[in-house]
Amino acid sequence: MKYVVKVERKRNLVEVISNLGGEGVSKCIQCGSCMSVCPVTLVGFDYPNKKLFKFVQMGEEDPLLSDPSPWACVACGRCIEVCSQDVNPFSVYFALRRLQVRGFRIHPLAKEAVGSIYESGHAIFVDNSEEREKFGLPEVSSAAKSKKDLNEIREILRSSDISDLGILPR
Amino acid sequence: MKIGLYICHCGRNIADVVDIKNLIGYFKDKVNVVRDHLFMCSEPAWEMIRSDVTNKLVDRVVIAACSPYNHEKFFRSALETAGLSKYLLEIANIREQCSWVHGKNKREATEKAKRLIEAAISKVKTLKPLDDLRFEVERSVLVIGGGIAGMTASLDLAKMGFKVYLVEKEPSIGGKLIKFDKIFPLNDCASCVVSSLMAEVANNPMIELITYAEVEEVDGSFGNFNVKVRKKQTYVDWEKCIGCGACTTVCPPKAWKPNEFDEGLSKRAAMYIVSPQAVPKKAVHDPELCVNCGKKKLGTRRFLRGGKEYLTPCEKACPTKAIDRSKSWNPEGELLNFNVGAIIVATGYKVMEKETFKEYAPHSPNVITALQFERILSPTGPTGGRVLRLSDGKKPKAISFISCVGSRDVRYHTYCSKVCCLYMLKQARLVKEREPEIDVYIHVIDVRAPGKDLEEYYIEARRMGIGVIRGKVGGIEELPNGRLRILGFDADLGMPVEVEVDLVVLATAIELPEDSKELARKIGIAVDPSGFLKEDHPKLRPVESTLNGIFLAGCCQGPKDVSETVAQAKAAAASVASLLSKEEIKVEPFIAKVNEEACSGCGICENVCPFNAIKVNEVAVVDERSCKGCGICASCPAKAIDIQGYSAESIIAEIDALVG
Repeated sequence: MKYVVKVERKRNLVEVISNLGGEGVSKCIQCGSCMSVCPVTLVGFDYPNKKLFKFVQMGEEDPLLSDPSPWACVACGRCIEVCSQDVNPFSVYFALRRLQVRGFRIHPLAKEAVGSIYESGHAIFVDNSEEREKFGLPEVSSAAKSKKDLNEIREILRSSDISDLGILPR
Repeated sequence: MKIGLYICHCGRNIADVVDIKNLIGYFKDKVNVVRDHLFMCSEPAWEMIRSDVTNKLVDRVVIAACSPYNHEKFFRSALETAGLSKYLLEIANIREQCSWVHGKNKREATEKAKRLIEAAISKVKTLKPLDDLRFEVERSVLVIGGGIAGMTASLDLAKMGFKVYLVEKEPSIGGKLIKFDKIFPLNDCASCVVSSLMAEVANNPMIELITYAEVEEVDGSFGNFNVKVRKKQTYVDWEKCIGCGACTTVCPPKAWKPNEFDEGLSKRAAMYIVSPQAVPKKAVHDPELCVNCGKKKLGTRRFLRGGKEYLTPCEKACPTKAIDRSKSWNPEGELLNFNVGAIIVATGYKVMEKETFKEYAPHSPNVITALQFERILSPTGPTGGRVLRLSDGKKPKAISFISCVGSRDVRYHTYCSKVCCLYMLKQARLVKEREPEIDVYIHVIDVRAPGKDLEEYYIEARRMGIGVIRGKVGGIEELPNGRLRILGFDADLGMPVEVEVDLVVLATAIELPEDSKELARKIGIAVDPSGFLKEDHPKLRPVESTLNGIFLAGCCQGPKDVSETVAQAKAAAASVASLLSKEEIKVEPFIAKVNEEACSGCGICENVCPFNAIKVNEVAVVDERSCKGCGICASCPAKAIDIQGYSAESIIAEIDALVG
C-alpha cells in the first residue's frame, strides 16, 4: 500500500481538525511516545493516534474518514501525559471522530458504542454485582440498573445531534 | 645513569589487559625506580616524576603509557621543571600499541608490554641531553581563502597587530556566504553579516588583500615560511578600474557562459565583475571566453581605413581606460614572494553536483541543488529573490527538499554534511514566508538539529505546515508534463509515499574541493579519510593542522555552520597569535647532524633531501630551519649523518631489545 500526495487534491486538514477541537495536531513531531502507551496501539489497530495525525499533516483525507481507531480510544489520557510537544493527542482523536461523523462515515464500532450507551448507559457494561457480593464489597450504582437514569441518558442522546445520524436503536 | 620507569594504568584502559603488578616485579631490579599511577597524565603523577628527578633518584625517564602523540610534551615538562634536559625521556606506548589491540590476550599483551618497555629503556640509555632550536619569528600570517573563516581570522589577527596576507582564488572575497539570502537560526540577512566584514578586510591597513591569486609554493617551517603566490592575470588595470561595470554590459552574448556566482543559473560575460557586492569591485577578463570583437586579439592593435584605431566594445565602454587590449599582458600573471610566521588554511567547501545522482532525474531543469536554490532565494540572484522555477519562470505549486544526497551514504560520503537539515528547513521556511500557498516537503532520514535555538527552529518549521517525511527518497520520475514524482517512504506511517511537485531541491553533500586537496599536498598537511583536511587532534588541537605552524579554519576541516566556522576561525587566529607573539620560537631538535670528520663531501645527501635542507661545501651543512628530520640523509654511506634523538645507536639499541 502507498499514499499519494498531490497539491491539487489536498485539503488543509490541520485547519479542519483544529476547528474541530484538535488544535494540537500541527505541533506533532511524530516522536511516537503516545503510541508507546496507547491501548489502541496495543490491541493492534493499523493507524493509532500519531499515524492518523501524520495523515492530517500531509492532507490525506481518505484514511482519516475510514479508520476505526478513533472509536477504539478509551479516553485513558495516557497520551496527554507523555506528549512532549503539548499536542493533546486525545483531543485530536476526538476531533477525528467529529470529522468522520460530519462526513457521515460512521464506523460500526461507533454504532456499537452509541447503541450500548443507549441500551445500558455504558459504552461497555460489565455486570459484576455477583462477584462483588461474594467478596463482601458494597453494591455500585449504575444507570443500567436504574430505569430513571437510563431514560435520562436516552433522552439526552435523542435530543442531541446524534439522533440525526440514525444510529440510535429504535 | 639512573633510570626511572613510570607505568600508567590509564584508568582501566591499560590495567584491564596488561598485568601491571607483573611489570613492576619484572622491572624492579632492572631500573633504579619503578612506579605506577592510575593516571600518569595527572598532576600528582607529574609531581611524582618531577620530585624523583629533583631528588636525583633518576636522570633518565621511561614512561609506559599511551602514544607519545598524546602527552609527551606534558611529561617532558616534568623533566624540564626539575632541571633535566627534557629530551632524556622515552615513551613506551603500551596502550594504542598493546592493551587496545590485544584485549583478548592478556598474558601475551603483558609480555609485549615488557618488550616495548625494554626497548624504551635501551633507547633512553643512549640519549644525550639536547636543547631546543631557537628561531626568530616572522610576525606575519598567510590566510588562504577569503570566505567567512578567512575574513574573520584575518581581521582578528590584524586587530592584534599582525600583518596578514589574505589570498583568495576568486576575484572577490566573500566566499559562499555572500551568495546566501538569509542564515539560520535567526534568519538574519547573510549579506548584512558578510558585506561589512568584506569592507573591513579591504580597508584594514594590516591586511594585504590578494584576490584572484593562488598559493603556488610554501617552503621553510613554522616561524618562517617562504610563500610564493601566483596573482592571476586579470587583463584589466585594477589601478584604474572603478568597478562601474560598463564593460560587462557591452560584452556580446556570444561570449557568455554559465555564471559561477549564480551556480550556473544565469550567464556572465567574458568581461565580468563577480557580484554586485564584490570586494574589490573590479572587472576581470576571461580570455578563454572572449570572442575577440572586431578580430582584435589580445596584445594587438587594429586600425580602420583612414587610420583611426579600432577599439573593442569593452575598451570603448571603459570610462577610465582600464581596459587596453593592445597591451602585451603576461598570461602567467605575477609571482609574489613573501615570508610569514604561520599559515591559516580556510579554503572552504564545495557541494556535489546533481549529475552524480542519476536516480534523482538530474537531467530535469526543475531538479536543482540547494546552493542553486540559495541563489533563487537571494535578492541578487537570477529571480531577484522570487520563488520561481527557471525552466518556465512560473511559481511552483509544490517543492520537495531531498536530504542526505551523497552524505551518510557508503557509495559517496559516510559522514553527515551536518548543515543540510537546517538549511533545508531555512529554505523551506523562507518559501513559506514568501509564498504561503506553496506546498513544501522535506524528505529526511532524520532531522538533525542539535544545539542552541536549532531544535526550536525545526519545530517552528513543522508548525508552519512544512511536511517532514522521514525516509530517504529512492528515486524521482519526470512526468510528461515536466512535473516530478518523488518516490519516497514515510517511516512514520510505514508505507511508501509518492509526492508530486514542480521543483526538487537536492541537499547534496559538502566536500573538500579538489584544488584544496592539491594545496594540502603542496604545503604538506594531511587529508583525513573523510576527505577533509585533518586536524592534529579532534579534541585538543582542533584548529591545528598536522604540520607545525599551519592552522585550519572553516569547512575545509569538515562540514560546519557559520557560527562554528567563525568560532574556529577565531580560535585559529588566537592560536597563531599566541605563537607569534613571542620573540623567538622553540623547535624540537630532532634534525640531521653532520659528523664533519666522517663526511667525505660526496653530495648524496644533498641529492636525496626532499626539503633542500642540506648543502655540500667540502662537507655537508644542514639548514636547521628547513630540516624536517625525515632521516633520508642518514642513509649516508660514510655514516656521517645522524638524526638527533634518533641516532643509529639509539635505534639499534631499541631493535636489539625488541627482538633480543
